[in-house]
Amino acid sequence: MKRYINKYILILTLLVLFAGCNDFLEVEPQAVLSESQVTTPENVDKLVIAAYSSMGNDHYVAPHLLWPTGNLRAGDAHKGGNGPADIFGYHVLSVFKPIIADMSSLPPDLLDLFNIRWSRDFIAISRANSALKVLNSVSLEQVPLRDRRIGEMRFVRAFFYFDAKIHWKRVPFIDEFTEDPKIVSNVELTDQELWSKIANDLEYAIGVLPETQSEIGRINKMQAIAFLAKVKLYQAYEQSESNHSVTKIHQDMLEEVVSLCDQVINSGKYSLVPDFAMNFLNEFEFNNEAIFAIQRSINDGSPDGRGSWSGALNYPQDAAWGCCGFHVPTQNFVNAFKTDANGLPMFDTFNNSNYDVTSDAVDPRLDHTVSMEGKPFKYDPSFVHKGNAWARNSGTYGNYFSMKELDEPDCECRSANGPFTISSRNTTIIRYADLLLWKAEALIELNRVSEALPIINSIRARANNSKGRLSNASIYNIGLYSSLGSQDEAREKLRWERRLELGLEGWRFFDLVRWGVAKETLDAYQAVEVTRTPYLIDYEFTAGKHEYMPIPQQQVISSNFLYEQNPKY
Amino acid sequence: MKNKIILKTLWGILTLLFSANGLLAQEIPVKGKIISSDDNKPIPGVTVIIKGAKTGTTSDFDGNYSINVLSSDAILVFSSIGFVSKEIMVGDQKSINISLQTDVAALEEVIVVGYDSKKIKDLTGAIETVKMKNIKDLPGGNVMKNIQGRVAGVQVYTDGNPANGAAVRIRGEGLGRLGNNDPLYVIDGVPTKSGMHELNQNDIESIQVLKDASAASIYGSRAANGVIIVTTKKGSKKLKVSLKSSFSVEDFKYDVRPLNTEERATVVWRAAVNDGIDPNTVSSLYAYQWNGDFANPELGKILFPEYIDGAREMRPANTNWFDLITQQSMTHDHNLSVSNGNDSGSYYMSLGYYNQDGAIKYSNFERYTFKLNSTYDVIKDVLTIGQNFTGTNQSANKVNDQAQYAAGLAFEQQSIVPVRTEDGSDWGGPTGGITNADNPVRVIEDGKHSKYHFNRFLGNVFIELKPINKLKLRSSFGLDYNIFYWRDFRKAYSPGNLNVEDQLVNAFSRYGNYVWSNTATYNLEKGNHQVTFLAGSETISYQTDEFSASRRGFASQSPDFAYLNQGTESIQNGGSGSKWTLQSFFAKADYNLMDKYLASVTIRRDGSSRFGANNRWGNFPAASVGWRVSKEEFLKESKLLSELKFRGSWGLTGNQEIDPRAQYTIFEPRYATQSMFTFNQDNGTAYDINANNSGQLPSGFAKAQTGNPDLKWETSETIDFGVDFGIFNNKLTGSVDYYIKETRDILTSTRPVATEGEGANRFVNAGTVENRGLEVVLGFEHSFNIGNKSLDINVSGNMATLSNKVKELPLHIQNQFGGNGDDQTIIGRNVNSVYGYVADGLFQSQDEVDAHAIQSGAGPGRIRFKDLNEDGVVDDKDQKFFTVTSPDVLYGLNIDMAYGAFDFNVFFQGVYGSQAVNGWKLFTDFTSINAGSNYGQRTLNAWTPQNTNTDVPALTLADNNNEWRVSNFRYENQSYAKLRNVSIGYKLPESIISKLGLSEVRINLAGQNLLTFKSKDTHMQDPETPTAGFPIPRRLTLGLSCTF
Repeated sequence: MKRYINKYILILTLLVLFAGCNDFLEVEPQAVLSESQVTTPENVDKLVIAAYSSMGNDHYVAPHLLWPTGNLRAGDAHKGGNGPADIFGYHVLSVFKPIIADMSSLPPDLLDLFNIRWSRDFIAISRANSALKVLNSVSLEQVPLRDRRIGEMRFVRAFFYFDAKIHWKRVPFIDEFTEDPKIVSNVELTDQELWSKIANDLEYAIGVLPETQSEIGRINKMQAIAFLAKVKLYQAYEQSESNHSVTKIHQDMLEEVVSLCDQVINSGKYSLVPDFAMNFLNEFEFNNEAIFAIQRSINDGSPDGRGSWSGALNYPQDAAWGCCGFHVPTQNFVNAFKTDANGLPMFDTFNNSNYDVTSDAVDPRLDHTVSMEGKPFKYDPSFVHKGNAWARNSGTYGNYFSMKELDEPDCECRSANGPFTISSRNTTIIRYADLLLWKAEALIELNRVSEALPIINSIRARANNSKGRLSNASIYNIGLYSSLGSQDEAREKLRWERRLELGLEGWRFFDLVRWGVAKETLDAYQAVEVTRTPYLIDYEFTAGKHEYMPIPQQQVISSNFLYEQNPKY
Repeated sequence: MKNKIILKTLWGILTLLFSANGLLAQEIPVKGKIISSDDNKPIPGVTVIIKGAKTGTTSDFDGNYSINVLSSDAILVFSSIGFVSKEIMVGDQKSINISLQTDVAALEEVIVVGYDSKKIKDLTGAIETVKMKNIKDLPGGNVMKNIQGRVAGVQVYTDGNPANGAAVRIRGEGLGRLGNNDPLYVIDGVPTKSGMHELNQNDIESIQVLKDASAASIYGSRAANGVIIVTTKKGSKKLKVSLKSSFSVEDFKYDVRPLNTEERATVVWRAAVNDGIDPNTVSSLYAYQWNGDFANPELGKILFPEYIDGAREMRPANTNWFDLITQQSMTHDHNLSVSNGNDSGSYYMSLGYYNQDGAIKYSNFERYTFKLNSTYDVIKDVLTIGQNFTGTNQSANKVNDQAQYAAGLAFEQQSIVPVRTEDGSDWGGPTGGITNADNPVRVIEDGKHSKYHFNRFLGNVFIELKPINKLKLRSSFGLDYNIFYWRDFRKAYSPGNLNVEDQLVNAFSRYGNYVWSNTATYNLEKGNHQVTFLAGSETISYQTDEFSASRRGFASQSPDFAYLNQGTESIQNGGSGSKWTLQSFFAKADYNLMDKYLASVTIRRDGSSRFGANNRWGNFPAASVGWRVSKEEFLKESKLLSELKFRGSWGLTGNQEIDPRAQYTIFEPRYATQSMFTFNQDNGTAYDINANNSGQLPSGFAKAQTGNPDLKWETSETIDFGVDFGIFNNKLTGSVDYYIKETRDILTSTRPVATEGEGANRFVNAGTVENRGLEVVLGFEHSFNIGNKSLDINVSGNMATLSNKVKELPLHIQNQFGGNGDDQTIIGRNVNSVYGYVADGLFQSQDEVDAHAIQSGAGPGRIRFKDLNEDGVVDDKDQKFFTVTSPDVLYGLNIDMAYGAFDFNVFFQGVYGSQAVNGWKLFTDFTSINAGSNYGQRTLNAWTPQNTNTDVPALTLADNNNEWRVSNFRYENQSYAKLRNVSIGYKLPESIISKLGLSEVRINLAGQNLLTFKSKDTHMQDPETPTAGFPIPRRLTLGLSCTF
């Protein structure tokens, strides 16, 4: 009997101890999609949209309106904001010397601005590559628009490589065929080879893209041609691998630039809008001058709106918007708009005295580009710049504002986000005027100066016709060139024209680097500007170094030191 | 009813105070000898008093005593520490010899050690028990806060926030902020990793802290950070009703003083003059009359504008924001418990109410708790069933979360800004020349109506069967269920140039787990051999799901109106969920030979759904031995050593705290992500491809994570050597432990190279960290005879050293701890090391600047940074690991005294050896880092060529020297010692309270955090909570407890 009891007890004990079932640990993961569920022919267009979306996934820390890297580094704008410590990384862009590879160690914000941009570019590239991988594997029956989508994705990829290229010069090239991106170094391709890879994507895209797309935001053939023209223009100025100086200007590529630009011009799809202002007003968002723009939206079901966050910090400190007073035009930039009796730029004397609104004549584009005390903001005579009351830190930066990227307070494009303002106005990346000036630049470098003259004059003529919306007390005087003079003189005029026409649109620094004149231009700017804004005392531009940003230290380390740091960093 | 009790009590106190005593009577002499029942040896120093009278004496060296009593019905009380007290009626005895029994409480006390209980003398692992009686008078918002400094090697990170969060670290941290360092709590057998502020401290019977592997490994997979076992009160055998209340007032004086309006204007003038800028151009807020001489500047008059804003709504003010948002706060804590029982069952039931305000106005935390524990013997000594249950309802408002922000704003916002606009219609706020900071009064006024409600139900039911003698089977089903509800209505607001829309956010989540544990315990005794076997299994299944919704555009800004249905714009919602399971088997054998030689072996095997099939199961063995030397013949006779035990243990414990989905590659249809108020871009996939500018957008997929099916348990290996001793009959006791704990395969997330693309990040096992420490606990107990009463003194102190060393870490993770990735890395250092520049005072002259290495932004009055590599340039290569933010030593000292009806407590606690960032310094020492903000008083004493004897850098408008870079300038000595507690308690005499039908009434008065000792070169007002919005307050508590 006792034996049975013991047996019973033993069984009971074991039962108690080993209760539970075998598949208890097989828990279905919650809220998870697997790769195989996503990478199907049915989903391919969703992957394509995700890659497109990257173009809108910018923010003021790494915007696609390149005001921090394109304008703060060019002597066209001060950082603005509360003071140097308010996004210190932008401050160092203005003075160069403290730029280091590990921006995450720069307080107070420890904001690794370069790494954010680098990572964003490569996330976007990986999205394009993911879509391309699937597109390459599907049949035309499964995805009838396959080839067109491949073209779109290669354009998107080129867009982000271009961004990476102009910021870091040499970056790892990863495409949909790269097996292990981890082992690809940033110096695997030479400078020129990398340009060719980008051009190659665009050339392919041109071959498969249609002239127009029913969905406006999708890339079409003309956009790809225009972008290729830009890539070729940059590539034409070959740079030394070691010190970034321009070693050779490829005439064949310049010819190509002219022919590509002509294709766009001759397509008849694009033109200069009659009033310069229309480029910067929401009601003319889709105009004939905007060749390629990032699509922005608000009230779109996203938490904060997929508007343009690029300029969210750049509004005046006025209750009409919120904050934050970044991107403050420099006095040098404003002075550059002064004109002589003939309405032409004062190439040598512009900066001898500061622009005086009551006595100095200016190019009317100044009042489209810079908001200043006493003048109406954005063409509204009843809404006048309130001087220091609008400024965040007038003591350090003065009280100018960059106006092209800003919208008037009652614009339907505007969405208030906390203290920030965003806008559904698209961010124009390629403007027809820009393209015309590429062509003019190529012609001048090809020593076909006379062919460039009508192009530059057409732009100046349009500027002269753009006073209708301006109700300022300013003295406007802008004239046409009768001749561009020698190649050197023409070059100076072209470059000046780019600064005025495309002022604060984000390209200036990259222009200076392309031309190989960054050091001399910036040193000359700083020598005078430091007397107006003393923070520039710490400016120091090292040639052969500061033309490009350092490879983010985090990437260097994460690559196990596979990446080669840019020279002198 | 309540009033009546209070009245009676008061009457009782009065009676006591004014009653006369000392009636004269005939004295009867009594004498005798006191011996120990253990060895029949005389006991010296035994207190002998006459109960109810003031006379008493002590026994001499031979145990003899003599005393005079007044009458034959006098009662003598014999007491001595280490022995059980005895009371004897004198009657007609003239000589009373007694033998006292050794007090078993200390060593024979049975404590819970995990699925089982054990006598303290039999322990072989490092287990420390919290003395609940030492903390019973402290308000119990979170019991963990009250154990700070009371357990060696346990540190509690907390602040004065009434929400009562506290992070507990047992024996330091592993991989610091990149790993999980929270201990496992086991509440009546139900394990949980979430906090303890839902528990009512009054319901807790005991807390044990399992520190080493041999103690903790029975909890295997989740025990790597130590285990805290909480056991709640059980029913008593007879009716016992207790009422306990305490009221506290709390105060904190913020001694960071922002400038007033006039002072700030002066400071700005000075900064402009230093920079060589005309001060009249720098701010629209001030106009200066000054001599215009930059070399010898003299300030005349400061003129302020009529209005500070363009809209002419705000006149210049002189607002003291700190005064407006802080308060003296109240806490009250009430508890009523009833317990009863008979031979076949018992119960304990309690109701608790806790309400705490914080130092920031409107901050509040409120908690109701209900507790019911019961057991019932179905068949006596064979079958027992029972349950434990805790239910809580707590709520707290948004101000708790915003306090840090509001306190920061109280500093940041300039005093020239008025609280409200001139006509009172709107809040005052920033305008030109003022940083775009919000109005702190607005923040707290608008935040107070946003609240969360949280319910937690925690408990278990169990059945215990003893089918045969010595075998116990137990099955317990436990539940930890949590419901969280949050409603946050942000009113539209527009102080100054800020303009923010309204928004209502509603969130709801429920989460928790069930745990089913089954154990069998078998005791085997044969001769001198005693073995206890324990075997068991446990299954845990956890689940959470949550959703949230938000809308904007409310027609009225009243919180009473703003429910989701009333919002018309920006309709958003979201939600997610997760699940995991854990299955475990474990066994333990404890061996005891002749009460001298002890050994224990544990094995636990855990399987977790969080790991892939390859490495799902982990084994966690442990072993320990103990030798009670004092039981050996050669020490048995020792008068000096009453207890001496050597312990040694080794074992493995685990950690599984990672995302339950870590093993999977995850794609998600990510429409959009948050970008406002972050430095993060939108990482969504939606795009306005149709150029509609608004409305629903097409979207795609994003990769969120790369799976790692090879993930395995993080494992800690601990070796612990310990010695426990008792001297002079355990008058002096102590224990010393030394441990080495190595944590391997630490679970953390990678930082892949960007070219691997989106979602390349994954969880990995990476790195090894070693913690070492020495822990010393000493206790001293003694009774002195003063007058005719005994003064019992109990002093206990503890001290622990902590050291941490990263032994191994992959490169990409090393980088997250600073260093240059090359010769300066975290390897070989404390995980809490800080990498940065070394500030070396201020440049006093241009000559000093010229003599120094080239430093961008250098100048007289600027901070000098060391050129560490001596290459003539101060750049990013001149950084090193210059300090550590976790302490080297923790200590606590507790002194208890009891004298008659009075008891006293004094408690000190401190840490030594760490440095902390003084975040306020950004405001107190600079005008340039946050240029538009207000500044601190220290800026009035900033460096100028005329005022060089200062550590405050010269004022400037633009910080070109990057002075807020990570350097020792920001760090200050964090070492402190605090007088945590001083209290006095008084028990009303039995003669009075028995008339009221009460068995015990005690009142106490306690002061907490009355004194802080800190380094003289630290400017932090409370080094324990540097820059906290809620520093730890000073607190005065009046408590009353009655037992019926």
